[in-house]
Formats: sequence, C-alpha cells, structure tokens
Amino acid sequence: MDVTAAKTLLQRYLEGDASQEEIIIIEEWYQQLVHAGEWHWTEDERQALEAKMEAHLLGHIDREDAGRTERARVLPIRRLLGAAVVVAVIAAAYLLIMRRPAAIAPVAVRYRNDARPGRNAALLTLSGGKTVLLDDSAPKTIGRQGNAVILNDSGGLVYQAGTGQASEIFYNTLTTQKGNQYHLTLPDGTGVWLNALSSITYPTAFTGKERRVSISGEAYFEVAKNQQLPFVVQQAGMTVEVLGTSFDVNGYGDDLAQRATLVEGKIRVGKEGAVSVLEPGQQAVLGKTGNSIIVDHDPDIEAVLAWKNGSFVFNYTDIGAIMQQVQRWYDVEVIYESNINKHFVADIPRNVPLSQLLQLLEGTGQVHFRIEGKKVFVMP
Amino acid sequence: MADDDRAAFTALYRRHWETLFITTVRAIGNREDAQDIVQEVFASLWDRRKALTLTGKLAGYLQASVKYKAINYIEKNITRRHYLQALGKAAEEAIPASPEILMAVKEIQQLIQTVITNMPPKMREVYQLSRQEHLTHKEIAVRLAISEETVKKHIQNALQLLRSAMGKTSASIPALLFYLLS
Repeated sequence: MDVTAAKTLLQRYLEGDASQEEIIIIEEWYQQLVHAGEWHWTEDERQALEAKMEAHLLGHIDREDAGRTERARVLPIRRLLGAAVVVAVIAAAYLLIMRRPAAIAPVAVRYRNDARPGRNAALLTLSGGKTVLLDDSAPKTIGRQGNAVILNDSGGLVYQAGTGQASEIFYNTLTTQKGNQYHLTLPDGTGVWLNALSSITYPTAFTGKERRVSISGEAYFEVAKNQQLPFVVQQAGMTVEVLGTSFDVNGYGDDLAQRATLVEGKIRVGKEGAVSVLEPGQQAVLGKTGNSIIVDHDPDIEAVLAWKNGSFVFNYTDIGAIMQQVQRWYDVEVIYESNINKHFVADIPRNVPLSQLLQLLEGTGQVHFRIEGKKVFVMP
Repeated sequence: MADDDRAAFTALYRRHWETLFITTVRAIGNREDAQDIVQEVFASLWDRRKALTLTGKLAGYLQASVKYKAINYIEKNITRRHYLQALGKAAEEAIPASPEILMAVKEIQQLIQTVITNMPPKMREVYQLSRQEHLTHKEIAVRLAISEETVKKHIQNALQLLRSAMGKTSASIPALLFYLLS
C-alpha cells in the first residue's frame, strides 16, 4: 500500500468515515502491530515509570480550575425523537432540497411488482417424518404425540402436557421458511417466538435432568421457571443454559457471529469449553470459528427484539444488514448494483408490503431500489 | 474538588495504566510518545469526569481512546517504521473477523459517535452530511443554504474536535454523566 492510500484509509477511520470492512482491516492491523511489537523492562524501570506518570497526572489534577461550572447535559439526538417519527423527520428535512440523480425513473416504473410481508406459517415435522403445514387452513387440533396434545391457533402451536409420566419421548421440529414466523408453547409452558428461516427441535415431554432444545436461525424464549430442570438451547456449537428467563438467540448462516441476548433472568452461554454468564441487558457474541465469547454490556436491545415485537428497528444500521433482514422476511433475493455504504435510522412495522418499506428508505434520498419478480436491486 | 474524586480516580488510573501503556508502546514503537498518549487520555477523562456518559464499560472506552490516539499518531508518522507494510498486508488478507475484532469495531464507532453527539448542532449537521452521507462541500452549501466557506469552516472545526477530543480537553465540548469504575 502506498503512503497516500494508507493516509487516506487512516484518516477515514479517524474521521468516522470508514466502512465496516475498512474498520475491520484497521482493527486487524492494529492487533497485529500490538502482537508483533516488543517491549521489555525491568521491575525498576516499571516502578520508575509508574511513579513518574502518576506524579504527572496528580499534577494535572491539582492544577485544575476549581471554579469550573457544571455543563448542561446533552441527549443523543436519537433519544429526542420518537422512534416512529424518525424516518419521517429525516425524509422531511431532505425534501427541502431533495436532489434526484437525473437517471432515476419514478417508483411506478422501477417497482414492477410488490412483495407481501411475512406471515404466520410454519412446517411441523412429527417424529416418524410426517409433516403438517401450519397456516390459516390448518386444523385446531393436530393430534397427540406421546403424552402431549398438540393444538394450533392463530399463529401459535401449543403442546399440552398430559398428566403422569410420559412413556415415550418423541422429537418434533418446527421450521419456518423465508417470510414465515410462528409461536410455540412447549409442554412445560415455555413460550418460543420463531423468526423467519429458522427451526426448533424439541421433545414432546421434558424428562430427565434438563429441558433441552436445539435451534437454527433466530428464536426468542420466555422460559417457564423450573429450578429442578435447567433449560438448555443448543445452536451449532453454542449452548445457552437458563433457569427461568427471557432471551434471544440469533445465529443465521450468513452472519459473522452468533449472539445470545438476555432480557430478564440469568443465562450461561458456552462453546467448546468457554463459558460466560450474562446479566439482564447483556449480549454474548461468539465467532463462527473458535471458542471465544465476548460480552457486550450495551447491545441495542430494542433493535434485537424488534422482530418479535412486530417491527424493524434500524439504529444507524448499514444497508447490508437491513437488506439481510428484508431478504428473510419478504422472501426476495437482493442484488447490489454498486458498493453502497449508507446507514439508516428507522422504525417500521413488519406487516407492511415491501414497496412501502423500500419507499420509506428511498425517502432519505440515499438509496434507490428496483423490484423485479423476486429480485430487489439496490442502487445509489 | 472532593477528595473522593481524586482517590477514586487514582485507583482507576493505577488499575489501567500499565495495560494501556504496554499496548500503545508495542503498537507505535516509541516509549515517550506512548507515555504522552496514555497521560493525555487520563487527563482528559479527569477533566470531563463530572459529566461523561459512557456507553459500554470504562475499560473498553479507555482502550478505544488510547488506540484512537495511537492510530492518529501513526497516521502522522506513517513513513516511519513498518506501519505501511503491516497495513498493506492487513488490507490484502481477508481474515474473517473474530468477536474481539467485532467488539473493537463497535467500541471505536461508539467513541466517535460520542464526539459527534456532542458537537454543536450546525457543526454536527455539516459533518454528517460530509462524512456520513458523502456530499461535497458545494452540495452541503446548497442543501443548508449557507456558503461553501462556512461549510469548510464547520468541517475543519469538526475534524479538529474529533482528533483532539480523544486527548486534551477542548473546552467547547459539553459533557454527559460519569460512571467511575466498572
């Protein structure tokens, strides 16, 4: 890399102008510098430096102007605006002098068709392989498996545990495609919200030393309390162990990381020997390879749970992450016509047609779309 | 100034200074300049202790601040040492980002966002249109109905605030609320 290119890249990083990929490169580079760098000192040298720096700092503290006045508190701009209003405000501000690139055709021409938002639907696979499609036309009583009666009503599958010990345990799987979501009540009363393109495999009765389920994609749990039987969620190599609590587990195949976010209660997150215990409001972040777990003390809970609460929440989210969610919920394929590095702030209900969501984003003037069949093209 | 503040701050400093110093001296390769960087970060933290809201843990904030200043230093001295080579190499290799790296990315973004949030409204608006929406000075001038010269001044001040906000206090930064110790 030549000097000019290097300076430009570093300046963009320092000025808050670098893309996610560029920041990652610089972070990797910095990490390398630290690893490869050398530093040796004797204990005497260390103590001398410590004393010198402390003296310097105390000198600074003592020189401080004691008559300083308190400064006013400034709230970050996002908290001042109601979330639902945010996109409208940004769009209105830009409408004042909105510049359309000359080549952009009107929406009526660019959006050849629309796409429905996702809906409540899923596929239930009973042990033995029999499948039941759960949608508007599915029956209210699905049947029995082992000791449980399986009921189905308005987007929710319920396992009613029978009395007495279950003689045989069966494993069922609930799967959602793109554009689907579903709710499941497990035999112990635990509630599970399943997002699009996800699945959960579970037993028809919980016996033994723990309540164990496994998932792919994303699910939100409200676990029924049971001190005797810990609840364990497995996803790829990660296990999340709980006592009675509310949390979200997310790990789509095309994402960089797996995440477990705790809302209430306490969970223990593990992978290949590494373990982390979370407090409410925290999020565990795991890489796809290896077993390191990072705890994020200030995740964007609102954005994480938005899907379960019926919205999309974007807090300065980049277009790539937005379109990934659009892809799964509207069952479309996303194609980029050029490299776009834009971020958006918005709060949009999940039950709107695709054209409405895209037009809201277009309102900022920072991005445009074309819909053709199942393909959505993204352009500047 | 309460004695409590001073005692608590000294405890905080003693807990963190060594790790911050060693990381910095390894990264930039110069002991005196590394000392300056760590000192400036703590001095600035002290100056703003009454009103600094940190999202995330204090240790993460300190690490991100020190790293920012180190990278600032390297950018100014880019032709020295091996910085260029190592950067070129990192840009070429496509390593999948580990959780540590993803976390570091988030911390630096939060750090920069803290400074942006505290810019005077007009300056922030101009800065965002330039560095986040990538408009030219002319386009910004048109959109906000101000002169290009004013746009240029706002950008200069914004960048100065950014580059210096991580170290010595700039008196014009209004502050937020301070959480001492994690």
